[in-house]
Amino acid sequence: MAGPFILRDEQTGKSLSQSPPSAESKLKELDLDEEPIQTADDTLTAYGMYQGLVKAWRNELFAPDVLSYKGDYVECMLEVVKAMEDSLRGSEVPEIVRSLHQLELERVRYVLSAYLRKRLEKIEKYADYNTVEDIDNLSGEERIFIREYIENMDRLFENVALRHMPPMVRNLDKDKAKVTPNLDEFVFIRANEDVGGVMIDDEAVNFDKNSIHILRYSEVKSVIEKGRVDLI
Amino acid sequence: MSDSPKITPADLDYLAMNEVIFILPGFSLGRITLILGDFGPFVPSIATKAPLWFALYLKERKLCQIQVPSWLTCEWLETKRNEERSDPDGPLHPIHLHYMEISSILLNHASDDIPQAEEIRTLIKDIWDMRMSKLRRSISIMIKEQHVHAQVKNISYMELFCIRPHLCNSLFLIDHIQKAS
Repeated sequence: MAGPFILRDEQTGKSLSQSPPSAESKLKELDLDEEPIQTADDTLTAYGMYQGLVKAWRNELFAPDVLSYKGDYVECMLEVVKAMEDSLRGSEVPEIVRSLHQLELERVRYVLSAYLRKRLEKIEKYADYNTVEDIDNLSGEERIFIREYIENMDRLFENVALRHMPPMVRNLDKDKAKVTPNLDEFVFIRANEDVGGVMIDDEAVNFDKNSIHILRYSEVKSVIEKGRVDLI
Repeated sequence: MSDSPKITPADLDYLAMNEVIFILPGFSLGRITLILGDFGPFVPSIATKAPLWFALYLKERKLCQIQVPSWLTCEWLETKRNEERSDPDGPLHPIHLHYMEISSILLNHASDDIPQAEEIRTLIKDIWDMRMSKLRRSISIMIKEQHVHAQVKNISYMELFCIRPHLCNSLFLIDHIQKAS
């Protein structure tokens, strides 16, 4: 037996990537994780927005490139934080209630800034690489940032080094120097629903809901953007 | 190649802190509406739910006692240890996916509320060691047989954190060499 990593289908002995979806594997999962505290439709509540932001942050942490900007979550949580701060300032609440609210707001701000910071880190790192599609994934502020960053870096290079060089080597070929994200990196994912037909080396693979897999990022990038699987 | 860890243990602690546990409040207070949901009312010595960060804040101010989650008792952990021990070559058994984070937070900040805290610490360490050794064995098979996809069940976040850099880098390098040749 290969231990925790399931590499082959148990009945057929084939490599896992060729196996049909197994009904059995759906039964045995014990889902102790991320139990929703509220069960009603959460998508529009502050709780749902917070969970969405946390998810976006985790995906952003593990993805090698910049994912699409989840502006709805960011703006909603900024509003929630502001509204909460205003209402705390005005009202006479017991000290302990005030502290607990403030503590929770600190926690929300932590995810907000961690999310935005992680994006900026990647945007800056791959500044010269960004494709049209990548630019579409950025927020308005991020686009301004990247434009100014590139301009400033170009000017810095010019002033510090290039203009002191002999004319024949004064042109900088940025294509040769750019850093690109490694899309073939291996990542862990968890399926949010049953997902079928993901191609891995020309073989279709199915993910059962809640199952955890390791595979190349490039193979699941599109299903991540659709929210059908999450990076973990 | 990944140069820095993607997620830090502090981030994992942050995520684990949203898990809900039971506390025995030492004060009276009505319901409180947080972003995470409604909690309370708080009546002295009546068990009620609270997120872990909330419970720890109260605990630090000596305003509550923490009820040890059922999966963090000696009995439960002994069962888990025996399960893992009974099939050292088998898969991982189900466990709380934040078990390392929550147990270390509770043992460090609320050990006076945990009966047999020392035994629990030892059991957690045993379970961790056995699970990690299963994972390491399985990983080396995966790498030797050059798989590019695998499913893994019941792996906890801290275990993922520990195996990720080594496993993901090795798989990428092997893959890269094969594609080049």
